[in-house]
Amino acid sequence: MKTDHELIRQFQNDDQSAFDELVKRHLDSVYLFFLKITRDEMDAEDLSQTVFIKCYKGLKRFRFDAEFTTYLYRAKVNTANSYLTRNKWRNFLHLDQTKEQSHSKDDAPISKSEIWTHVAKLPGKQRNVVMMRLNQQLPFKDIGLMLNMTEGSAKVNYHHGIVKLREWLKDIYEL
Amino acid sequence: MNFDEKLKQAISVDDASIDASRFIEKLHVAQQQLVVKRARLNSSLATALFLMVFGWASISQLDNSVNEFDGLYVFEDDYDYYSAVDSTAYDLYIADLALYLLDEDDIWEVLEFFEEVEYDFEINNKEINL
Repeated sequence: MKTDHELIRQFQNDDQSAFDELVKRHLDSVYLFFLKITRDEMDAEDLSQTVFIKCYKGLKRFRFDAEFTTYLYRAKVNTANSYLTRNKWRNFLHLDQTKEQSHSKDDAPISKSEIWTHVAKLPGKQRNVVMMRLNQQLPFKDIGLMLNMTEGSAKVNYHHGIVKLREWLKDIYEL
Repeated sequence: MNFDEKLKQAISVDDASIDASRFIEKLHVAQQQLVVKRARLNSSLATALFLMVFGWASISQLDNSVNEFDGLYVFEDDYDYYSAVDSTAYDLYIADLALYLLDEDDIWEVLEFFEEVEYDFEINNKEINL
């Protein structure tokens, strides 16, 4: 089985089938990443397409300094950030609708839309780390590598992000 | 259950499957659209560049003088060389006509003729405008 780098080299030599193979290989993980954020299959598919179009444009200049998965994670995080920012108002309206509900049980389910609405409000670094950790459950070392920060910085940003999320969500869920 | 475990559980997805071949087909369409978009952009840029160069070349042919005549602005160009070449035969023709009129012994008619020749363009223009 060819490695990602070999497929990219083939694609750089105008082999479209190599790019298709790359898409097939990583489609499920990309789609799942966005499905967890969007809660909508169509949106997840559109965002996955956006990511692979970014790859299609960018891979011709890929320099093989890093793994393709690192490149893909960055593309995913950037696309997810754009999506969350774009849907700020829509999320805001969802927030208003669900604010009326209140859960008193300790293990009360937290709505996905609430989570992502509040994740979108976090500062950039915290938002990216929380997104990667919650969505992909990656080790902090890998998150740091993908987001160009140290492992310690990733941990600190995650901690601050989670504390803020807890603060914001406790009014709704009585956590 | 601690808080971040709750969050992870809340966003987890039980069943996620996507039809890869259908997705790739749609991706190919999007790639084609991208290629067309790029080609359009390149052609627009080339056209804009051509128009800029052509416009600049046209403007650079005009000198800074502008003559106003009867409400019209007339720009002069710097094609003096061609004007000089083209006007030689015409000048000889005018001189012949003047000599012919001079032979008729009517000096006033000759002067009137010269005046007419000098303002030929403006007179014609005026008649066209009328």
